[in-house]
Amino acid sequence: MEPEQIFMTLFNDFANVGEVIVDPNDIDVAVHMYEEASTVAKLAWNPRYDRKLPRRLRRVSCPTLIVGAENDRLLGDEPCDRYTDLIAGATLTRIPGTGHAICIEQPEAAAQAILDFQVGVGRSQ
Amino acid sequence: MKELQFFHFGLMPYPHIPPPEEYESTWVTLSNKHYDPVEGHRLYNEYLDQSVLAEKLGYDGTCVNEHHQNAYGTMPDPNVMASHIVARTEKIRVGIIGNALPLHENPLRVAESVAMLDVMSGGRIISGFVRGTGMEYHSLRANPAHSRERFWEAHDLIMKAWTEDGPFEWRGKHFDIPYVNPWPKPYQQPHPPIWLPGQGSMETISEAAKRRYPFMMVFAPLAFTKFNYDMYRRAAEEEGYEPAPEQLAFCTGTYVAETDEIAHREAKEHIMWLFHRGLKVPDYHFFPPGYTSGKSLRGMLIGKEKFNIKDHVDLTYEELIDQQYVIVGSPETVVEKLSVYTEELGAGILVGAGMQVGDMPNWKVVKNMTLFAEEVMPHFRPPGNKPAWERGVPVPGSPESLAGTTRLEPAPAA
Repeated sequence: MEPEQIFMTLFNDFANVGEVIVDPNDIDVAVHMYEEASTVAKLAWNPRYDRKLPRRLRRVSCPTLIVGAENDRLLGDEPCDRYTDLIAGATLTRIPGTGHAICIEQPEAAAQAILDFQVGVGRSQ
Repeated sequence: MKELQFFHFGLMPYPHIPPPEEYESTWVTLSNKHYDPVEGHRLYNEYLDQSVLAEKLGYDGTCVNEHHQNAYGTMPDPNVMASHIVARTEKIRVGIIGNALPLHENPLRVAESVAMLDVMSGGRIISGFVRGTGMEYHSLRANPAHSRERFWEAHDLIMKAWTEDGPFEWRGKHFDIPYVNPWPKPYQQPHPPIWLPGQGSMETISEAAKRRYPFMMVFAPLAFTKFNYDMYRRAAEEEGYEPAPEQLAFCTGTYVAETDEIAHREAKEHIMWLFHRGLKVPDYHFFPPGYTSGKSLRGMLIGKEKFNIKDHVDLTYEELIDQQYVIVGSPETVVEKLSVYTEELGAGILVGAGMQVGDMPNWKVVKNMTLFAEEVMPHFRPPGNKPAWERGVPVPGSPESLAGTTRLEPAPAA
């Protein structure tokens, strides 16, 4: 995927996209972005998946909220469903209108979902 | 006139691909549906005949290299190609420039293959080591962020495997091998000469200078080659010696014809294939994350600005000629341009002399190789125009070739 396509795929709602737009022709920015990507490569270049993840997710025993996009065109919507299935008692909240960049597209709604969850957990304990 | 050694080198491209505006990259993602094996068979044999012809014409060496999943150069296994050339020649030196060490799961396979070739050929192999281009890390899915570490660990392991008796144990960060004990060991002692082709990263240059390995610039403009040679010289100075010309190589395609006008007319379209189609590679394929350090990337970006270095696909033919990415012309013109490298830059090895590029047909390649050998080479050789292997000139990078290296200060007492 070309870099321009990645941006188009990350967002469903472009209202806040300006917050994360940087100038890749600025050498400092280019080097910083490259170094960040290099760290990701160290962790996840190969393999790009973790066959042990389902087994590990089953061990999660704390109250769990999965915050998902309404339509994630980068990763698809299946991973959220899968996490919800594998973690006992997990609940899934999808933030309306969002794509992969949930916290940039709908910061208030994402934060509210987390706050509501925390309050709920506090009451039940 | 100072001497220059001439190494023939063909990239073995597959030229029949769609026009560049129809695809993203000639590497990684260009569909292999465009590859016709029957035409591939014809091309391989034509290219290999050219490598064999290099010996008859008195080239000092002929080279092969390693690239994966692309139409620019169809040699995923350079050792297969070297084996073919070794079997069909008697004397010429065969440069593998080089095996891409980090791409191998086990570097002992490289130690074994190169040693086999060296023994079969009676010591005619030059062993280049490379990391592979960034594109290779997408194609083979090796982790680019471990590339440099794996390169040097693989290098150290191979060198030890070649120079020390086995079995011994290797416990490295990336390779864990209980019995290192390759049969055969290389023919040349202590080991085949090592060359390091590079793209101009300071890490590679200083490591090459430290070990006195010949360093080669690939398809770079003259000014940038000079800048990198200066870096090598400074690194060598810190090690207490002055590099010999045989330590400074440049890979620059050349085309010679009767006159400048004929040369440009015959070469232009094929040179443009190489730079605008063969080298059509987006940055995100060229520099996968972690392939280079942030520090090196910064150096490269600043250098690119300072020397006004354009991406290959943006260079015009005039720029390719003026900045000397390639050298094209009558024998007089080519001699004059090459002598800048020998006289002013102190280079001693030209790789890519008389090279086939892009979709250049066989007749032009043979004409170019012949004219180059007969009209250009004599200007950089003693009378008789004999290749290095007939004159007993040591292989660049061998201990004998470095014997004349000037020490800048006395060796420390043992």
